[in-house]
Amino acid sequence: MKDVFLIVDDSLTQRMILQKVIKMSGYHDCLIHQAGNGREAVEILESIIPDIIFTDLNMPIMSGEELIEYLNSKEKLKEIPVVVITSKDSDYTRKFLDEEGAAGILIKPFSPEDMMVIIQHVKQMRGLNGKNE
Amino acid sequence: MEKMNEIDGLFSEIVGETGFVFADPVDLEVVDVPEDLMLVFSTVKYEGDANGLMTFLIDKRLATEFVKNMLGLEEEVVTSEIIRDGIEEFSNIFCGHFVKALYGNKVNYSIKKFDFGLVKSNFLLKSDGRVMRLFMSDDNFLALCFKEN
Repeated sequence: MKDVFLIVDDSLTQRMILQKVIKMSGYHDCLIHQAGNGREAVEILESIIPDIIFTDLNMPIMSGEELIEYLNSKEKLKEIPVVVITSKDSDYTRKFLDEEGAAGILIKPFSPEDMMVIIQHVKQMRGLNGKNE
Repeated sequence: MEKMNEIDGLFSEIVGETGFVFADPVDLEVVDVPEDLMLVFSTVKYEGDANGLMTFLIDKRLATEFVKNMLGLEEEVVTSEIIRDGIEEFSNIFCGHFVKALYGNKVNYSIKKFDFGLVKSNFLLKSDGRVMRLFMSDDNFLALCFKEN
């Protein structure tokens, strides 16, 4: 079974970079869905359950923080690991993500190696290893 | 001055890591900036415990290459929409590092897109309370401009 990832970012460039970096980090065969903000992500989540959601925080319409809160309020969605992609490495951000149970944080810019480490870490935490190896 | 050196170093580092463009700081008062030079700019606003405007400027001749490098593209043609999105995304990325360097990691803030466009090089010489830092990569210019509120 292929890994399924959902990328949520209002920047087309960042979505392209993330898609490329995920593939470069060894996940050539995965399925990647994309959303331009939290609301679009919620619509996609009505039809697919990804293995990992990668989300930006600053987005119009529905921010990454609001998306994480929404996921945590839904029984069916709250177990999906969320990795936050941000350039804001502040105590506030880390405290929020800790409280909301985010699976990880990647600070932009990041390398394919950083991506590989975080995906492996999340998959180990969730017992998902072996799916794409 | 130490803080400015730190910000200059950070700018060079993030420009290098993101767009594979290796830019060194230069003295605006010493370097002759061509009058007909056009620069692409993207301004973001940071708001919250700290407030201000930060503008990233890049030589128009270098902007396309910079964005192509960001995306890992080689032969592909990039649209003006992608160039704009890439330059705005770089401003967003750099602003997070910039705010942390300037104010530490205790501040809570948000970053918003504010303005995007083209300016002539005389913009670099205008002084209205902004801090202007100039960089060169080969014979191309990049700049960082900011104003705290």
